[in-house]
Amino acid sequence: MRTTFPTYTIGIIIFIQSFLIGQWNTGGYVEMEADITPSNAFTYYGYYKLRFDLEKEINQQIEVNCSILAKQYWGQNEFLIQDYFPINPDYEFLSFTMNDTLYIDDLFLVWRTESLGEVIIGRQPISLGSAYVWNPTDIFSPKDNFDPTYELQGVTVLRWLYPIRSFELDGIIQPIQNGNDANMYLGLKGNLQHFDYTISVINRNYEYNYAQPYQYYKDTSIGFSVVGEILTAGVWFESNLVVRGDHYPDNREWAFGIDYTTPQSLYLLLETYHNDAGAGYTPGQYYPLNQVLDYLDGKTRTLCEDYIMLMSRYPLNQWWSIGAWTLRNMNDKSEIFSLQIIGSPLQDIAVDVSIFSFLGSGKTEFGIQESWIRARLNVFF
Amino acid sequence: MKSLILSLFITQFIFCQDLTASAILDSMNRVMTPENVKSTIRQIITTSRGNEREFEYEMFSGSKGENVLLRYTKPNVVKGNAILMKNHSDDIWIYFQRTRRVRKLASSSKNQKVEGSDFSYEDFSSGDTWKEDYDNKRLLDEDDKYVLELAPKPDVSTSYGKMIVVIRKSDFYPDIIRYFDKNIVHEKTLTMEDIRNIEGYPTAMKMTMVNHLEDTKTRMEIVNSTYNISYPDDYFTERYLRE
Repeated sequence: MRTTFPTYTIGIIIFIQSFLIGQWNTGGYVEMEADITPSNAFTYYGYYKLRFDLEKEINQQIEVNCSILAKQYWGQNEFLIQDYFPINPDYEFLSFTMNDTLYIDDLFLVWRTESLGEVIIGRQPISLGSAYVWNPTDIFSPKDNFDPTYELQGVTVLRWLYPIRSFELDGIIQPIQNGNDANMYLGLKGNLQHFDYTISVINRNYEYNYAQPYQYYKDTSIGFSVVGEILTAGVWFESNLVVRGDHYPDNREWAFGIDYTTPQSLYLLLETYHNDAGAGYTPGQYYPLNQVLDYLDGKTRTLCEDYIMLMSRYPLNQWWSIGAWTLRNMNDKSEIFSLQIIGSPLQDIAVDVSIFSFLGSGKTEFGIQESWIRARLNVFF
Repeated sequence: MKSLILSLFITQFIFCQDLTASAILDSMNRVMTPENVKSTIRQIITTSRGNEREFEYEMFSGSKGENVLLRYTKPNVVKGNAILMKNHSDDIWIYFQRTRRVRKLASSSKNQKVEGSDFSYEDFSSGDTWKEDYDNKRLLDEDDKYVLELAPKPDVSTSYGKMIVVIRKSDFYPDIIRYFDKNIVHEKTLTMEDIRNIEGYPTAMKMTMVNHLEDTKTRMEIVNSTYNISYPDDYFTERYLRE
């Protein structure tokens, strides 16, 4: 989908049309990020990003959305995986490069009717489940552990939302590359007093391995997600249990969380997560390469089995707040600790400065990484 | 003729004196809580340093204020974001347009500022439940206005320790609400201005919430408003929130 001729062409056509014909709702933002790793020698890198959103209501039933995204990197743009994951350093060829990109992140059509509900066709943002960081029922768009509220890339699916009395049926089909199969999600969403729940059946395909493209394992699972509150505190639970699987048979994934805002406006959040498919940890040993590659490829949501996250945020005034969060790998006892200041110095401008510190030995998931400062500026238009 | 006017005046005087706080609240609710409302609202937030920021949103209110949906249209940073408050703000969902995510807020958050304004989520819930949720007491009248003191009942979840509502005798429309925190410190004052009759309902075209503790204020101006509107049964649901 990236930097290919058709997406360029479609994007440019829509862009030109929006100005020629007019009446498109437009918006977006420019984002600038600078990252500094103050190790032995300072390392600088970052990017400029432009997101341009177009929206057109064709009539009361049909709406078209398009988001064009351009990203240009500066500073260091090639990295060694061994610097970020505890795998055997003998694999020196394992590097990844951040290339400049221009692509259509979203391009979808929404069709709403009284009788058929809502049908959404095309590359679109998907966000399923009730948990904050880890969503076991979301097989389409895993979140970034460092930045779980950051926008997710669009996924090419056909989605159908259909209300049945007080319930809502949510069906998603994502064709996979062999052309014969599809990832599927079928959820039924309901409400009971202060609790919203979703029961789902999920069918997911995994590529065999990196040497045999287009060959797939299939897992079928039952998902459950609930969010509500107990004694004014928010609580959520989300799980996904594989009931028939070739790749991760009997795999269990679950997340549980609680949040609360004190009368003094201090926001507190705790979330725990378990993933049977994660790697176990042997002290002093590197992680198996395949496990790391499966994680990087999105086949497993986390590298290890158990995690916990704690977060707090406090508003300094109307537009600025400070926060701190920690994410701990419960298996290898490594940890990320972050301090954050976020705010809006002027209307339509947002600033986020974060400091990340990593605790643990050099052979643990987070311990291998170096402290890091991230500054991000968004200008919305 | 003179005696008739005098007797009417005396009757009204006695009647007004006899009205209980509950009866005044009932009358206020009749004029304050129409079945459905749709408004476009401009909101100007002033910081303690005097800086201003302008927001604009559409507000849809149904079932006599039990359910409220806000959809931001300005500025760009929040354009498309929406907030759904159901059951008098006991259940709150927020929709983020940029990420197309919906997040449910716990009721411990309902005393928080909505988009940096001096209005909290619970301020958007209608006064329809005040009679059930608050013990009411009539204080001394101020000129041609009734003054009521409302204190939350022990089992009610609210961030306020007390409210004082000043209500116009002419049409039972409140023009000042003073909010006190749990320590009975005067926290905020809401003032209604430019009250006009729209489709049979008195409507404050301007409202200003002043936060005395933080020295900030939020002014709301109604750009347009209608009470002649009906909503589909499932309008105040997550589905419409996403639209």
